[in-house]
Amino acid sequence: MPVFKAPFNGYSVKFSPFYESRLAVATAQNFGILGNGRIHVLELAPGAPGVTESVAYDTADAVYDVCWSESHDSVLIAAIGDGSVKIYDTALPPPSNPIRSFQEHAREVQSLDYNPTRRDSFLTSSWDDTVKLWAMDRPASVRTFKEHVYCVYQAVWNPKHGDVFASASGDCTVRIWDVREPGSTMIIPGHEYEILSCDWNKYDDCILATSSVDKTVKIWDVRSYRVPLAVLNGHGYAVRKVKFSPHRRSLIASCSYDMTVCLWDYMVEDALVGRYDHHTEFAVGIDMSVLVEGLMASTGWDELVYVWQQGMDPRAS
Amino acid sequence: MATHQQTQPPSDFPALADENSQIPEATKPANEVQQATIAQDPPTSVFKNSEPIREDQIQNAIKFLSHPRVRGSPVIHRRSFLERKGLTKEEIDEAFRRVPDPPPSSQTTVTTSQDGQQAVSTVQPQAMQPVVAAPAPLIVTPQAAFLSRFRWYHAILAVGVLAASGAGTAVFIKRSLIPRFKSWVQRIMLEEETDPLKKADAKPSLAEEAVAAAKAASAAASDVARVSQEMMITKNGERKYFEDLTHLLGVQVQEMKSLSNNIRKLEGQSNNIPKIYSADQEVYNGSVTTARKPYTNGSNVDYDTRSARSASPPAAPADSSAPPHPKSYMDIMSMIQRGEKPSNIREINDMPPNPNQPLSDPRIAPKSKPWDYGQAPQDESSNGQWWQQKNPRSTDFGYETTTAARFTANQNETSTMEPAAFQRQRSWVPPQPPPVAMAEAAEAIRRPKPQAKIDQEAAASDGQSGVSDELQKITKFSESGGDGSGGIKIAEIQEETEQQHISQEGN
Repeated sequence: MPVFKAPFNGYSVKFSPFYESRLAVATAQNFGILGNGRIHVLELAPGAPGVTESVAYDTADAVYDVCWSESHDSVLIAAIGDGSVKIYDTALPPPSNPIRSFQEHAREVQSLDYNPTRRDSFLTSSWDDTVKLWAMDRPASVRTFKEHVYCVYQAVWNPKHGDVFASASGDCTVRIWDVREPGSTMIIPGHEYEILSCDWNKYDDCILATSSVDKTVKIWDVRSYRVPLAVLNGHGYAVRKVKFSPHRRSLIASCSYDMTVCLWDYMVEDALVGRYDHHTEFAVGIDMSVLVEGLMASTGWDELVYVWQQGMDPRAS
Repeated sequence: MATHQQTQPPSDFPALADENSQIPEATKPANEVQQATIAQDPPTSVFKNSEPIREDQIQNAIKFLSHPRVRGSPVIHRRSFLERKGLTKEEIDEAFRRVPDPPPSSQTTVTTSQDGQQAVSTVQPQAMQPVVAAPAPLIVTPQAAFLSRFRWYHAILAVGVLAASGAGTAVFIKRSLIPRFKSWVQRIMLEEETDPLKKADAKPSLAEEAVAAAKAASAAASDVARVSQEMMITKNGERKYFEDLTHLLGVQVQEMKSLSNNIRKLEGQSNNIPKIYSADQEVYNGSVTTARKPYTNGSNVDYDTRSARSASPPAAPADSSAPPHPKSYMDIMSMIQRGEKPSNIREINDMPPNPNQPLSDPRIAPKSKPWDYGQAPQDESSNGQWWQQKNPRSTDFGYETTTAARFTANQNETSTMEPAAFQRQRSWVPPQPPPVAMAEAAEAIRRPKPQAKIDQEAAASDGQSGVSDELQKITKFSESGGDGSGGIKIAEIQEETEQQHISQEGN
């Protein structure tokens, strides 16, 4: 299984929605505390070493998240620790990049999500308690959603409803928003501790997974959100990211500060269906490929990016 | 079934945002069509609260909001607390409406909430460490501070008054009681001397009297002792309270000092950091709140005090151990605390060289998602390249280039040979789309799609007659695509066409 060693600590990894063998990695120097950042665009190749870097972009501050455009196959967007959002075009020569830099957030931008249904807009969430909506062709944000009282760690579009998104915050709530509404439409006090990540079920548009500092992943149905559908226990420390599979209805991947990546099936009694402990530091980024079923990637503070097929050992060569 | 995609250009967003309608089914013709065909957006969206307002929750909220301590806290913290208790927006608004006007201090929250929220709310429960209790009173609003100052003043006054009264009572007792006692004893002695005869008779009565007097005296003395003891205790209590307050104050002052020291240090070294930071300096320096995040994270006190990037990734709840951070992480944290900058940081200019650089044209049309067809494909896997285990093609890229050639050369042969195989191999290809029942309606819905979305929809709606059109579009694609990457699209469309062929030929 290919492994990529980055010079900086990994923060996020995302597969391209256009190319099966392409992925982007967001990294930050000095664990993201203080220092530069770098975005790597990697290509999977047959034979050793399995993965090569096709281009890398340096940034002045840490890169906390990266996401691919759904409308342009060569465009990717980066969330930077100095509060800026930068757009890169891999089809242009590296010195022409970045092609845009939006400085609006007052604090670190923690996450990005591109709208998979409308394909023309994306969300950023930041430690300044806000979520911003952007369109690719506009020089400024379209809207700012300010209701959380603490860092918003992630904002995710609903895969079926192009106007609906969810945001997970350190104020221990998840909010559902509709861009047609002035404010949030639903508040789910999901955990007793900070909620670090959330993701929608791709096959059931009312089901949402949240992961928290309390080491659990909870599955919610927004139609009856008082009680979770399932609580997934098994991680030893805070669960940093959670992701629903694009191919199987009830399959979830999560990564945690206990350095493992876990696979869950929340419809099953014994929900933990897989555990990968390949990382030697906090595992903070995870993604499942939309184009290739079963292909997963993860990254962590051990500066490594692993790409592997479900069921195989990520460290196998 | 294809869903609503790209029916509204981005310019609709501000219009939508300005609309203050509470009705999600805002009357847009495109949406209505979508709703009619898709039935996934019922008139009341599932993403809104449809529960009725719960009166008991509102009563609890009113009790909470009427509490004097809560009155002194910022409005945003009160809202957040109620939200975390599970109240809906409507219930919270109703509770706020019913509680009488909040005190003037709440107005400060409107401004404070803008520049990074205040520290932990005074009403937040278990997630806080005891340390938080110390800074909380300091960061409380001016009115509350005024109140506490008032209390200290009162405390001092009370202590002084009690001490004075205690002293006065003691003096008074000394002055009045003892002379009385003395004179009483003297009287007895005198009576003894002047009346020895009476002694015999008087003795028992005298003795009785003496006993009674002694009892009274002892009772009085014990009363006095008790009272003075009580006074001493209260005095001590007051003094202890006073000392506690001064101690807390001292702790807060120390923390403020250390924070301001750190800020000054980083101010000093911020001159070396690239300009991009400068916009944030004011935020970092101006807000005391840099400390709040680590506190509520439950992380170690060590990295609470850094203010360069205050929140490390949220670590753990306060009651369980924090995850073991890498050793070098702690090294860097301590370096930052000491005011040193790690030496490996470079000056990088990451601003766009041409902010108006247009995006390059997309070479591939957006692909549909596996979930757009409503079913989770359950394809079998077969061996191949390790990361394409489900796809038996030998290489991804090789296939693209050869497909284009094959397609233009002998499309029919290739297609009829292995349509079923295609379906099996390409795991993300959806199962056959449902037959088009009403072709006109389907076309009408999908017609206003922009060029980029012509692939599957066009294939499905065109049917048999549209194959020639397909060919033209496909050749256009391959021309514009140029390299093999356009081949994926070609294969897709071919596939769709083939499925249509099969389904219609089979009927």
